[in-house]
Amino acid sequence: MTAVSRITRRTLLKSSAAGAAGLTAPQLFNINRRASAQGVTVEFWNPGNDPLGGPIIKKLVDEFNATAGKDAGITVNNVPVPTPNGDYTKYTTAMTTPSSPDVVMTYSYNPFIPWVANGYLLPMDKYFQELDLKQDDFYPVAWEMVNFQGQIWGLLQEFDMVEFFANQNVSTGEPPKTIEELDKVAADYVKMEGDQLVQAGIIPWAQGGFSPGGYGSWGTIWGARFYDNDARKWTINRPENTAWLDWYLKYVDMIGGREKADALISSVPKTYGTVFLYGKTAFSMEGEFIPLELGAIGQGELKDKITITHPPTVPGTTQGATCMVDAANVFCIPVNSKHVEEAAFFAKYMVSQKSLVAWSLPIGQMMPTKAAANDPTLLEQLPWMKIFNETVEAGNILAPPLSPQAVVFNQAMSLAVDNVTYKQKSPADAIAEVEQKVADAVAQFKTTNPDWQGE
Amino acid sequence: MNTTIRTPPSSNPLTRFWRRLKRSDGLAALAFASPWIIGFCWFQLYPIVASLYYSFTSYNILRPPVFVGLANYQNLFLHDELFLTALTNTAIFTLVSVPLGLAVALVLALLLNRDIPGRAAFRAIFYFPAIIPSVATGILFILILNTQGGLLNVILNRIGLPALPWLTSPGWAMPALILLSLWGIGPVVVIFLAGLQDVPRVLYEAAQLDGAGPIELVRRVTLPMISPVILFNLVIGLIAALQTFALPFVLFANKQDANSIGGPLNAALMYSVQLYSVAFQQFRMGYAAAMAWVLTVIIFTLSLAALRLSGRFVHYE
Repeated sequence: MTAVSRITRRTLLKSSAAGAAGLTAPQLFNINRRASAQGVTVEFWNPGNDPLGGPIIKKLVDEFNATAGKDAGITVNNVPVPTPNGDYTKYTTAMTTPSSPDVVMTYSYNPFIPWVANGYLLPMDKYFQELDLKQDDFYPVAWEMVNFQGQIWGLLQEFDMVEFFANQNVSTGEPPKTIEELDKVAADYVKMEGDQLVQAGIIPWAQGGFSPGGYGSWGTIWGARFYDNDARKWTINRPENTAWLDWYLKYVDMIGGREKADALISSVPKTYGTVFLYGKTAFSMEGEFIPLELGAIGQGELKDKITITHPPTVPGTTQGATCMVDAANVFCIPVNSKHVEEAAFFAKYMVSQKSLVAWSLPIGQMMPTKAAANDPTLLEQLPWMKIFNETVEAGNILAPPLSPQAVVFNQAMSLAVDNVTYKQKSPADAIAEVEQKVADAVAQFKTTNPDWQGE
Repeated sequence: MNTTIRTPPSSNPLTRFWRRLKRSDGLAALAFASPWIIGFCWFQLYPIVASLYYSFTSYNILRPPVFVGLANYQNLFLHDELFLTALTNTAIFTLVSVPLGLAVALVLALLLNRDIPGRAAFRAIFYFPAIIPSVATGILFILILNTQGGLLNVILNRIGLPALPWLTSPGWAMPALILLSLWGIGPVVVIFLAGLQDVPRVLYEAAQLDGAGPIELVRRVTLPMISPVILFNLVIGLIAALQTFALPFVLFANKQDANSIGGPLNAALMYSVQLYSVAFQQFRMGYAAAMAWVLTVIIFTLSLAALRLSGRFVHYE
């Protein structure tokens, strides 16, 4: 018996639609025909083994494979590779081998610059131009963070920043608008039980976002600028760079010593290690994702009791730069990727407005593109994002130090803040020590990377 | 007439060695051992030799190494404060935790060697922590040692003692780490137990006839007889302590601040943790290789010293 295939109106329409999609998609995205003809599998490594981000990434990959990927002959193999404690060693080592992943996504900005500086990644300008990816679609800070040596090395999927949070269960009245007001009210909220600190107004060095010791938030507000991102030079030992640490000392005394603050911080689970979420401080600098994380730690009712505003300003300053990008998710393409064009095609799909909004809606993240950040559905469901967007759109957010020595700087700054708040060193001495360590690291880096422009 | 044709003796030692090998079973032995030999050469010997070379270079894996002579070693000893901090912390940890661990393990082994009810169960219980992964142990102890609300401090408060800042104070971070190192002494206890059971009963009986009490029995009979086991545990303990990584990394690497890896004021920054940071966060592989070689030399020297000095206190039957 011979099987005879009959052409019905339904199959004819389906075939025509598939044919049209197959013709238009590669043309639209200028993906090469080879991919369509042969069918390419792109290995996509990401840290999405977590319960929040993992399912969203999987869903986006499945959607890609069923739509744009299918049309272009690309199948993405989703490979979640955990990064415990922000450890990207597995990624780094895999990227050096011939069986490197084709495209990598990070949950952290930390490994990105060292990867770029040490030649682990491919510049993506050519492919992004072919894919018609426009710089204007992105916020300047999001574009700046992937631009090194005049080339683009990846795409941000999101970034993290902080604004000023007040817990109405602890603090009454309007949130402070100036540092002077903050100093005054913060002292009122300090509570001791015997020898133990059980509540504080704010612990600035521990409640300033992800940057070590809060240099990216409180440091920025106080005018500290440790790196000139235009000149790509370190500017660590400026007189303005110690004011925030002098201010920290006031809080060390107010709280009764650094050790008391550490004890209070240790009273909450390390995984969500911010005492603010557990109602133990009145104020904090927190990220845009916090309101959606409250439910996960049994503090869901706090969501309606939080006031989010722009941070207080220092004397004599109007609302200037108030914070630095704390962290970012990046899509990048390893130097040993076997399917570069297809990987770039997939990365572009993942930063399309639809994908970005699908990523942000359940977990609340800052969007790198203007369109996604102002998506009506996003702003309706996550209204607090407007405060964060205001800061970005006003240009009051800085990129972190865009230097290969940022890791050394961060490690040194973390110790410097410890030294100051434990009263082991003066702010000036602590900062001078940071400068020396970074200068040594720059000198060492130059021996292997003499062509790298800047420090 | 019988004529025997003899191969003239060769002056080349390699040729002589090859001929001897062919005459004996050496070739077959080598063939059977070759999987291990090849694996050792490729996966251990080559990396060891390569890392020695890299320690004199500036190297980031993907780019060719640049020879820098002794610069890495000079930087380590003359400029790198974190290296010296890590080295000092690791030395303190080793000097305290190894003798403490040996003493506690020996006491436990002596107790478990007695004919007490449930002895087998106790042996299993003491060994049990050794099979729990270090990361799980670390997370468990973060909960137990929290300064506020931690189980240990709750117990201390209940019995009228003040809470201690185990993991949050520069003064307590190292003592906490040393105490936690006792958690994994199960294998040492088992090795001591095996040694204790090997001590001939007749020696104890003779000593008792001479009027020795329990303490004298331990001092004059047990310790000399198990001294080779003590030496073994000492050397293994030194090597393990100097390479400690997982527990301090889990306890003190700050999840919120990935750059803080050494606890408060770097009071618990251990050598291997700093080495990891230099290699895999900063991609300074040449510098990390130099650190690794410094550690290797330290371990080798200490092990050699222990073995050399062992003649004075180790008794072999």
